[in-house]
Amino acid sequence: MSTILEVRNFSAWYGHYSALSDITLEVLDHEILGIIGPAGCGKTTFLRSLNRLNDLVPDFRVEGSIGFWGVDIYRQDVDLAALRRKLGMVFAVPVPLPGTILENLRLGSRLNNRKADAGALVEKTLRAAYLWDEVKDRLHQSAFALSGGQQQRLCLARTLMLEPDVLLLDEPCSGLDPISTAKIEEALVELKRELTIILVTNNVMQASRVADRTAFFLQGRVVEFGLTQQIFVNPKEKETYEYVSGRFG
Amino acid sequence: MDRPPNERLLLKGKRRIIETLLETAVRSSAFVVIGALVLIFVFVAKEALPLFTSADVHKEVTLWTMVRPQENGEFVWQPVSEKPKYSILPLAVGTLKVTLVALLIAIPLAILAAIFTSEFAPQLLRELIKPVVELLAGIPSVVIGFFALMVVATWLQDAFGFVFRLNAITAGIGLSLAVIPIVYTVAEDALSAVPQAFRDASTALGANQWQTAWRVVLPAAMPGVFAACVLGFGRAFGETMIVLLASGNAAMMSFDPRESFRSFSATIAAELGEVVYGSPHYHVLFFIGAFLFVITFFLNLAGHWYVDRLRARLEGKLKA
Amino acid sequence: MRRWIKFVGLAFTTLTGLACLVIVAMLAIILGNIAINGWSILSWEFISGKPRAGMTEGGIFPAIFGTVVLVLLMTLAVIPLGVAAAIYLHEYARQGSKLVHVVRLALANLAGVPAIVFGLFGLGFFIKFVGAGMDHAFFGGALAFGQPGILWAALTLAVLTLPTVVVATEEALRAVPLSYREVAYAAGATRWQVVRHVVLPQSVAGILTGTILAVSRGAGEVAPIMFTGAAYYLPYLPKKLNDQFMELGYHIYVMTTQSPDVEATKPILYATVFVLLVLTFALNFLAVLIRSRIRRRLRTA
Repeated sequence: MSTILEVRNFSAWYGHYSALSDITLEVLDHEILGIIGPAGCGKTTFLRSLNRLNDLVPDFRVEGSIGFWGVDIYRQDVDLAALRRKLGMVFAVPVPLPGTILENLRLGSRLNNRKADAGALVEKTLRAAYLWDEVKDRLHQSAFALSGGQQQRLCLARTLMLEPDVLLLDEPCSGLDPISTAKIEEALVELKRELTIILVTNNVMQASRVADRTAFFLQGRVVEFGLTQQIFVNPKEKETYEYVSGRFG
Repeated sequence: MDRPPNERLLLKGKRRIIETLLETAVRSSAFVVIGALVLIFVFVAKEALPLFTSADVHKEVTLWTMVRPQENGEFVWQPVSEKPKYSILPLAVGTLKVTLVALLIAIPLAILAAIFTSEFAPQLLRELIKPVVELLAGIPSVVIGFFALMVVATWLQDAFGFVFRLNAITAGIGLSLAVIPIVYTVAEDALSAVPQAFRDASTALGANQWQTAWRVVLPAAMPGVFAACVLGFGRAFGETMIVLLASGNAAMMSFDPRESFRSFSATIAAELGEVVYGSPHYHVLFFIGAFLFVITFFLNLAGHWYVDRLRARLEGKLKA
Repeated sequence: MRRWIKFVGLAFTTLTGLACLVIVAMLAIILGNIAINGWSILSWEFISGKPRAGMTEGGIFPAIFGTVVLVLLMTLAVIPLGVAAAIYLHEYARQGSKLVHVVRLALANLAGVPAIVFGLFGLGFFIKFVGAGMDHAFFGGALAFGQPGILWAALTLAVLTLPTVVVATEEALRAVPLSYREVAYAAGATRWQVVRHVVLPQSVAGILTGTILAVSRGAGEVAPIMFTGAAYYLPYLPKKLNDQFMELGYHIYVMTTQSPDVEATKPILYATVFVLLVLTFALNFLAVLIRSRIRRRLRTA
């Protein structure tokens, strides 16, 4: 497998607060990379650095480089809009926009002035998000009428509509019931065939269930990074062992 | 394996140009706001400048003759007469007189009402009082002036037997109606900005509601309340139509609030329509306008400085 | 001692309540007085007719027409500018930057400039500078725009209402959740697309409501238009942008101060004031109506 994202000595600050220091790791094409760690360890900052969403934060500052297909995404002349479509993101809290389910799905095509006739794509992405059967008869109803779990799967489908290369997921199941969580996990494993997934999660078990490789973050650093099985069964570092076995976090 | 889509990641020219154009347009509108304020001052001051520089104007009036006692020791504003007289002191006295009356009525009423809404009033009443004040603010000042002239003047004269039907008390009452909304709004904002924790702490120490309001909330919100007074002063100082209609418009050098008067703003309104363009009188009126601008400018600056200080103070206290 | 504290407390609370009552009463007295005296005079002839007999008889249609056109022109001028400035402040500018600070300060000060100074500004800038310049450049020096006219009065009022429109718009923009913007950015939206596709559609109700309220405030101002376009009496309606016009507020001022017989004009005067108030409050009502309409539409969508 080839490397799709290459993070080299990457550090980030919010003003004077150091959020990430000296991160080095690479993400392989068509894998699910799990990122675990306690609250405030920098895993969300890391994720939001990959699609440069943190550029919206006034005092955010970075050092080092992140290569995407060999292009440093922090180069001056990178088209942020194009970058963010290539690295689609799903947020922790489902954020459907006001409007119908279909309007939500067509957000991306609306932004790109593409014709909104992507009917086949709508069905494909809704199926991929395990939502098609539940919403196929109510595409013209408000997205707010959906349940929390359905909303989050809609957000997943909305992101898939962008046809990204990489899917960035920020604790996508944090507020969801077990059934919705299971559906999303199932969807992710299926999706792996088409794209690369980076999954930030608070739920250690979730990482162990779906991730091919896992990185353990602590206080802005990567403590351990390797195959999921190795991280969970035979961790090299003491902190990793304590975290995955539930001693802290 | 896909070919790395490098070129697709880099900025496309057309979209970037559109974005830049729109950003420039939006940003320039912000400069228009600054520009408007600057232009107002520049163009009012420009027409006032000959008062300082023009020899022709100096034959008739200088800054010095505007404040100095005239030949017979009097201070007279009589710009349209054979020998024009331009003493601005009666105007200053008139303006201060009416502003004082208006503030004496408006400030206690507005601040007490603000305390009531933020501290004592039940939710339902609160929802009722705010629209009332908004409605009051929405009444055009010419309507208030008309009302003061037609109704208030008659009532007051019947009640107190004023010699002058239109005087500083009548105009001051009218003016207070225009000042109350701004003082109330700013003061109410300041009082509501005081964190609930202050009130809880005070109650926990055994203070009752009015003690909390008087000894804890009001002092904490003081910079904001002070800002309300300063901004109210600015509003009263520059208000035109109410004073123009209800003052009697006699430029008398009298501190008695029961006598007619004339204010700076009303003088401009009443005389600029008739004045010869470019005459000394014209320039003097613009000078008064520039003076009004400068005074209200600094009053506003001061008002907002106090509002900022309140915010800093409350946030600072919360952090500590 | 305890009883005394209780008494002072009660007195203080009552006093503050009384202050509220006085304010409410003041409003009620003004509105009541004008409604009672104005309503009885109101008739269709009064609204649709022209003033007659030195304005002591007849109607006020030219003044109503002038007011409506003035307000429309002012709105056309102030909304694009005010909304754009608010979008800059809230969506584009880096919060806490120097420019934002200066713009906010300018707005606050602009809001405090006395209305009469706006009148002087309109005369000095729009008429004597811009207008005269246009005459010189396009009309060979003939008097066309270098004189008071409805365009200049509307623009002067637009500058006066600008700060209120900006503040109201910003408030509406602030009501759009930050997460909506993030979703759009994450979906590859550019800054302008976020504004165009997410922020504006979500805030249009608030913007409309706020600006209409701002405009209704401007509609009642007389001091800025006294020297920039309003006329005592005109036998015709304004047809061109540089025509003078009659306006309700100014008409009230003129009839109150210049009428040879105030008692004779008093009923007409009351009716005119009543019409001005109704127009102003109708704008307010319209704002509230739009707000609830759009809210309902958003909810059912």
